[in-house]
Amino acid sequence: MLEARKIVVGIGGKRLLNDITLCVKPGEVLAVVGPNGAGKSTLLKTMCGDLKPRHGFITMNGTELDDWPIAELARVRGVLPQNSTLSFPFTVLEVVAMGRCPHRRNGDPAHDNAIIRQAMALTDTEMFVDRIYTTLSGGERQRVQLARVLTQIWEPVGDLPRYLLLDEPTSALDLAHQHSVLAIARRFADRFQAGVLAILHDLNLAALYADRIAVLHSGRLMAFDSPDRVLDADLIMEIFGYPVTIAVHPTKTNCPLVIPHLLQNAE
Amino acid sequence: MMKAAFAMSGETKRYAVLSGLTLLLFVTAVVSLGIGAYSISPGQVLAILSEVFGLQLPWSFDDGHRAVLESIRGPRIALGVLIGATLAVSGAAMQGLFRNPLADPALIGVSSGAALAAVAAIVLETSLLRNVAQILGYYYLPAAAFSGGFAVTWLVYRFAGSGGRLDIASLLLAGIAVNALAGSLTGLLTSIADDQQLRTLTFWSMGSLGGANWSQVAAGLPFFLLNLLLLPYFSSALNALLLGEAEAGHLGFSVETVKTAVIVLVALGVGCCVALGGIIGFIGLVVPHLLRLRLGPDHRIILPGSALLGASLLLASDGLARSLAVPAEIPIGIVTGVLGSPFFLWLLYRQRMLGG
Repeated sequence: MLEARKIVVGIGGKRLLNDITLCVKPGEVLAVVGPNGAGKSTLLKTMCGDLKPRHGFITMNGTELDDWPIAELARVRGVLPQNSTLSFPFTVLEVVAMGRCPHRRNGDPAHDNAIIRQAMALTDTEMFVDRIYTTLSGGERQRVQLARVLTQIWEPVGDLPRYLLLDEPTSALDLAHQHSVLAIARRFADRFQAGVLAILHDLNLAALYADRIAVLHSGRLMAFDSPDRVLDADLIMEIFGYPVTIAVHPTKTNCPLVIPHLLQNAE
Repeated sequence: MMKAAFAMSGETKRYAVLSGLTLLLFVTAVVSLGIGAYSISPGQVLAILSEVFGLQLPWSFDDGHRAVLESIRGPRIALGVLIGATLAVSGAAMQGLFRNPLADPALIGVSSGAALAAVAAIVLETSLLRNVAQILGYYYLPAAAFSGGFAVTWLVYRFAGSGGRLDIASLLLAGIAVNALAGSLTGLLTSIADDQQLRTLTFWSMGSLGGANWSQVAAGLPFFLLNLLLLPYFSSALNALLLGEAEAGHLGFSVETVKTAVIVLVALGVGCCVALGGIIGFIGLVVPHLLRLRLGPDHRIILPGSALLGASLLLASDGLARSLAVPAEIPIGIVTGVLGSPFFLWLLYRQRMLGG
């Protein structure tokens, strides 16, 4: 289990996260939603150890994050950044292959290549294999980065649960690829019992793929439960300041469908 | 198609490129050993070299040839190889660390610090530092330059680091400020130097491999080797750093350790280069850039490749420096500058044309 217990995060005098307790269980997809500036990325950065909480702590599989040897952590946990600053002309294959870095000591190249190939097939990036990364579009880059992160945690290490942290993985993607990325996350959770935490903007994507949704607002956790309990018109009005109607998804059971209203007098 | 792409991966290309560059360095070294006022043919050079291993080659030579090779050209070429390789590898590592293909080892203040200390050592040799000069004797100037380079880098490093984290953007800014300060102080010292001192320090600040001897090579060797053998060890980490610092950490690299180690190794290596050969520009900037254009940015190829190509280019520049104005010598820093700057401008122009 990846767990945040009573964490408080601040920069200078400003509190970005206030007393947040939540967890990602192995085999579950947790979607974190909230308006801009709610603290979603701060939460993800804290849960992966890039930011240190002022109070409270983060544990993974029962051990505090700081006590994990960094190389060992990299073998069971992958983090997909919101956008990558890579500006050097690596080929796509070289970028994806970097995901094997944590395993290099006991890896054999043929085995690594097999994993890289499968991850690229899964993320629909095979056709870019020899392209220069910097020439790809934003959405293509995002899929290549996902392939890199999947490559990193592709195989089990002992029987340790693995975790996948995704910072807005669908922000630059077209409709089909938004769904294929979240389907991959879902499959990782179902098949490998991996715990997935994904920051999402689209409430309907969250409802379709997540087991639980955490709603953040101004650094506070406003709701943390299954989609059909969390996605409520009043709560959404309160947090996002926008009127919606909740309907029932036509094909998936127990799945709410969020339908935004058209604002009157929106000049 | 996919399979072919994977099979043709790194290793084959890596060995082909590195073998080619090793051959280039060997040829350049043999030719360089023969160039100069006292000319020795490549065949004679090979014959003299193989005599060491008890081999007989069909080229005849005399004791004069051997003496020139042993005591004058030999150490000069050895120092050239070490300095060229160290400058280029350090440049490649700095470009990776700063995630900027235009970065240069001088950014962290090592060159300007070494220059300042060397100029101070020359100007104050007969007054303030007389005792130090007497104790250190022959090593006085190199030791001053080396410690100056290291001290200034340490200063820059301290300014950029806080709370156990080294901020690369602050490192760049602190480097610029400290470089400017060191430059001004160097200028101040230059303005109070007398004519004899001025000649020494001009010659030194433009770089030269002239007067190289085996004891210099031996004194510098540990620092050169630390730099050349340990920096390639960080190739994968430098690759990962290009993704971003957080990403490199998530891939299991101890980012802070890597940054500190790279800076220390560069300061040791480049400090030693400046101490023994003066300031030689553009090798550290142009060589890795050139290789990256052809081979891509993978540091596992770029670092060893830079060492080999940097050594070859510095030997070639030194060959020109020795033979263009016989019997006089042009300072090697001038040769690399005159060749390097237009080449660099061409690279920039090309990059803009390609929309990169």
